[in-house]
Amino acid sequence: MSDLLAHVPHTRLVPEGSYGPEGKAGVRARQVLGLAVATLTARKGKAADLARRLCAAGLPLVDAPKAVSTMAFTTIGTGPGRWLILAEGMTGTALLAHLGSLAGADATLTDQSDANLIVEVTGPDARATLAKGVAVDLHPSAFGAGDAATTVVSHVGVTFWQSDAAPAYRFMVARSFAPAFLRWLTASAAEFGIALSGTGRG
Amino acid sequence: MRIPCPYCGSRDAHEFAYLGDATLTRPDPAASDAAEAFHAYAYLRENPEGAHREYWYHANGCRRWLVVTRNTRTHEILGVAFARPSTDEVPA
Amino acid sequence: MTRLSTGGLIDRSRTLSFTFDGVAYTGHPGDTLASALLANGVRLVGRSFKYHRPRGIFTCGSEEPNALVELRTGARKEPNTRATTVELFDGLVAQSQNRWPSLEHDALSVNQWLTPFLGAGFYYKTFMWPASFWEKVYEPTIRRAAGLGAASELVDPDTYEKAFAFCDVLVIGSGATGLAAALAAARSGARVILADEDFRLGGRLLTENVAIDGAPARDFVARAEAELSSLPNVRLMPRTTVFGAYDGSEYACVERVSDHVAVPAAFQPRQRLWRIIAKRAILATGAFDRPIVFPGNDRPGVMTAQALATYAQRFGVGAGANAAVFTNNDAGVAAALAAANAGLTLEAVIDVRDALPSPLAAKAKALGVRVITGGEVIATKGKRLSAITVRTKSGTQTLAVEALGISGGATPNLNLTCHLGGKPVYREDIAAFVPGAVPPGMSCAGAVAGQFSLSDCLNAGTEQGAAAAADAGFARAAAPAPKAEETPTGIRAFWQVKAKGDLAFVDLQNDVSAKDVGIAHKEGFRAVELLKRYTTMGMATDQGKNSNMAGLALMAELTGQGIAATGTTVFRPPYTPVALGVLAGHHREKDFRPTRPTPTHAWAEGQGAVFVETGFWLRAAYFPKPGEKDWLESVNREVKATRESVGVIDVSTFGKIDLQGPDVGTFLDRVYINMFSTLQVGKARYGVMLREDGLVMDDGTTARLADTHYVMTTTTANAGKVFQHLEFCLQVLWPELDVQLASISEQWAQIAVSGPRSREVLAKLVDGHDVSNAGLPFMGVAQTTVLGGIEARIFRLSFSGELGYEIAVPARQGERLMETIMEAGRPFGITPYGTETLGVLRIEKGHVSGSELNGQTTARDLGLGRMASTKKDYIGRVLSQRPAFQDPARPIFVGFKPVDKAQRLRAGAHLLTVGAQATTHNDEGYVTSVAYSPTLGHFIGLGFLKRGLERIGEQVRAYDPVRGSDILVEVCSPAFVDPEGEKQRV
Repeated sequence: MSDLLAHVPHTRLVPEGSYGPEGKAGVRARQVLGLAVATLTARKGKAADLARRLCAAGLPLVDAPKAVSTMAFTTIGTGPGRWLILAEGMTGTALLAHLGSLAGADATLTDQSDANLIVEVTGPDARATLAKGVAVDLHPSAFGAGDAATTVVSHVGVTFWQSDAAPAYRFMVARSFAPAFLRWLTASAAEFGIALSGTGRG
Repeated sequence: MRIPCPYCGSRDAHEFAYLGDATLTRPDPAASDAAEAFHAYAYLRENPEGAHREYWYHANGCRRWLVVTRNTRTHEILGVAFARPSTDEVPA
Repeated sequence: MTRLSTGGLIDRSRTLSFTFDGVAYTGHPGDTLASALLANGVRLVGRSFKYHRPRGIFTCGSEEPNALVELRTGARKEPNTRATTVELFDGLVAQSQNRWPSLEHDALSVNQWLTPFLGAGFYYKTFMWPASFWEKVYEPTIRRAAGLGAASELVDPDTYEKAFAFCDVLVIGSGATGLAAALAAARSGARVILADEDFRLGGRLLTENVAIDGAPARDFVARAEAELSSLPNVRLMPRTTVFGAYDGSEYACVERVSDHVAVPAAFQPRQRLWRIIAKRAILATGAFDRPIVFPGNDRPGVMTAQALATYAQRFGVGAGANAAVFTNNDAGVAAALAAANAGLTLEAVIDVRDALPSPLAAKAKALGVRVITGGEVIATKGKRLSAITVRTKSGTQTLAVEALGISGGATPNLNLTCHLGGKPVYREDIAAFVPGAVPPGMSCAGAVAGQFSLSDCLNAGTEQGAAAAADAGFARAAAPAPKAEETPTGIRAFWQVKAKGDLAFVDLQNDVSAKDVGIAHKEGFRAVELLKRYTTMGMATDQGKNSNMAGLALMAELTGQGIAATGTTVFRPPYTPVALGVLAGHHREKDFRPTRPTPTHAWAEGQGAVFVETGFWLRAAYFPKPGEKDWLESVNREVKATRESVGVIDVSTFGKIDLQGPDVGTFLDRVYINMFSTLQVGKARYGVMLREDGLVMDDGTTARLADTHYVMTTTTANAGKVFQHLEFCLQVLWPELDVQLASISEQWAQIAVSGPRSREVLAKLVDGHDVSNAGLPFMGVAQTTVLGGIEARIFRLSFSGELGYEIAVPARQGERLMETIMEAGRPFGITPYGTETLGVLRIEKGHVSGSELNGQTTARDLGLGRMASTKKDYIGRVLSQRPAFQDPARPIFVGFKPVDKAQRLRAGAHLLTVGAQATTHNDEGYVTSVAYSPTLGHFIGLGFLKRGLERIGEQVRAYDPVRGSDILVEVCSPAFVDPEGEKQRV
């Protein structure tokens, strides 16, 4: 790590701003705020029933590492019979109540709205930046819009998904690991220039 | 080294935690020879050359325990399956 | 000056300045440091490792044994850098190594007169006695005399990074074979990466006077590069060394992003470590030209014939004013002719064979080159080569030459094929080792596979490139292989000139001569592995790329076994030296690993907390106040305030696991030694978890929030391990159980409020929940809201032994909760505390923690044996009952206090019966945790003592030789404060 982040405490999010060569922003990253997040886990033997019920109710569940978005929700497969459900404009409690009413006894729910930081990474050099830590093939022929992965980046566990073909990626990182993740992201993107927003002024 | 996780796809081996021999079964604790059986279960291991079935945990992925069949000479991965017989799959 | 008048792939229109040993020189873009030095007539570039003999540039690539320099200065100084691979840049500064006071006049060159004493095994035989001399005298002296460059001791100012790449076909090497392979694979649509350690693609094609598809080879290189660059499925990686082949078709590479500039551009790393995951790999790394062993074969000016030709053809440099070539093979002759073609004055080609193949003889004749057949070089002259002596059947003659190219044949560059255990195989017909078993997914093509003819290389590259792409699922492209003439590849195996005189070197870098191989043979170190280690042949930066072959051939001759039976040592990664900085990448200093802040970190900073790393976490250790002289004074204050009024600490770092499903109770009964299925909703219970071997894995409290909903806490250190264990139990041992797990460690901030006034503080926080002793009794759990609507879980637990509560709120509310607690507690003098006070409080109370849950203790050892249920089975039950774990003499958990209350106890001290000698046999246990107890006014300790419970009141010796402490302690109950547990129940 160069002097780039020397002034940023390791316990704080890298402050918003531009890092790298003057006037270049090959990568744009922003913290996505205001999402409620829940873990939805199928009860034993109920994954198929659960997926059917929720799909019928307009909440598409695919039992695979895929991210599917509707107007209000995004569902991301993180393991067999297990999903993260993201909702905009809703509290965690409300999301749990809503999902509980849909899933009934077929699933258990856990609020994770405060557990993570969500960062969107986009821009022409996003893929080249992510290659510096993501040991998953992100080539369009291998990973496209709607694909998701739970993996580790620079010693930090993440779940990420490609939200559009631009490409844009969204990373979900545990709250206490977010400073380390943003340090890695900023340092890795610096050669292309990165404009970081939504992380406060430090 | 890469391990093809049945859920996540090909992943770096660093994402997985190794446990060991997957051919062992936890003995019946009520059996009359339970003490000997548990001793063997906890401590005694074969060290086979060639194909070996072993438990790996996809700690930084889908959190599934896997049975990975690995050639202990070449590290070639010969097969990977969920440790828990999966009755939970969603039909495609 | 020895720059040839024309030619070379250098930009003569631009001049680059550089210095070597303080002298200013110039070169051109396209030069290496080595070619630029030769162009300036600098032939002496270093002193040899052991004898300090003058040495020159010997090769034109990464196998260079001699021309090692210190590149750059100050913090960027880099020792042992091969001048032959350093791309010249303006302002380059290089120094020669291993010479004193100067390269020209090296005082230690007298070592060469000591040669008879410095032979193989010299160190082993000489510096044997006395043993203490090794560290103080022998080793420092040897290191000073025999050495390479010196490292900069300053912090590296540059950055390094890592990256991953994926491809269908990785082509390693960009010579004729590699280019053909990359083209064939790329044209089929496969994702191709072509990597080469050189800064220019083309390999040997940049040196050879051959035609491909009817045009000069260099035009083919340019066309191939242009086509490959234009394809979106191809990534060209020049300046990238593939240094290791690993399991799973993974290749490690170093990309030298900024080594060719003085200082990396802003925000650019110096180097980048690539891990390339390739479905298939084609090794097209060619072959090295190897030396012949003859007296004085190390003089500056002697180099491989390939190097001589490359300097002439590619760099437009004459390695001397004139030259000769000494060889045993057709490629050596061809190299000589290529050099002559480029304008080098070639005095003679000396070939050990009696005749040249007629096409080569004709070419030589056409160029007017004198050919001496049946000839051998038996001596050389000059600090810088000035003459060679040639012996033929008709007698000896002396030729005045400044450069001598030697070629003993081609040694396939098969380093990477050995990395997963492959053993090279000897082929008599080409006098070379070729790859044996190769790593899965790799195939070898061209010279590395023993295919030395250019047309064979092009055909093999094309064929294997197409085959690799087809393996990866792509249809073969139709284009045929590029066409080239058949180049002659004849050789007569020849390793050593039998002649008396100067030392004849096998390994230039390690100063190993033919004589040393003889000594090794005589003394029984005949196996190649022993030969290597006894003589040091094939060690250090070049790893025997040049020397191994001649060394083992000489040994084979001495043993009479033949080369095939003698075998070769194998190569391990890295192929060439790799800087530690690039292996570390981003992860250096504080970025070595993540730092995890707690939800109240910023608040704690504001309070002036001193922090401590616990795993990845950064936790407040204590909160000093102005005027306090040391940490102990702060901690004593914090402990006292908590015991007398109220204290507060962030305990969010504990692992927290959400368990739901109808079978959670059953599941917990099986993983804990005690019962949880009987726990009432709204209650918490302390639980102990064993490993299957009967030793304690972890402890913590688990609460029942609803009939089918529990929440478990684990220790901070074991959060991940316990979660993994629970998943194993559910997925592998008892898949029939309907239980779902979720980690909620990051979702909840948890703050502990402890002390007699804690209830009054809590009462101000809750939104009307009854927190009286009846409303929220000891070990009770409330799910409610605090601070006007924030969801909260309140656990009435006590780690300190005082009345206490742990309040959990969603993590983003943690800081607000802490601030409100502080405000609510102000009338009571609420005191924030950290891990130090947490430790003192629990040691005073006799609670076990990480030091006691150390992987060697059972529940019985910890005094928790009675918790174990006898009504059920649980993990670890059977083996916890084995006789050794039930032995009454086993050390058991007790407390200790110093007999002399002024003395300090030490954790780690061993316990001895008073009067017993301090021997392992007499060891009766050990102290695990100590603290100064402000409550009692002296040090206290916890630990394990044989038959400890029967020895309460007895005095034992706490012996700590590591820190020089040896004191008498009295054995006591571990519960120093409130042993009846009344305070926490009020």
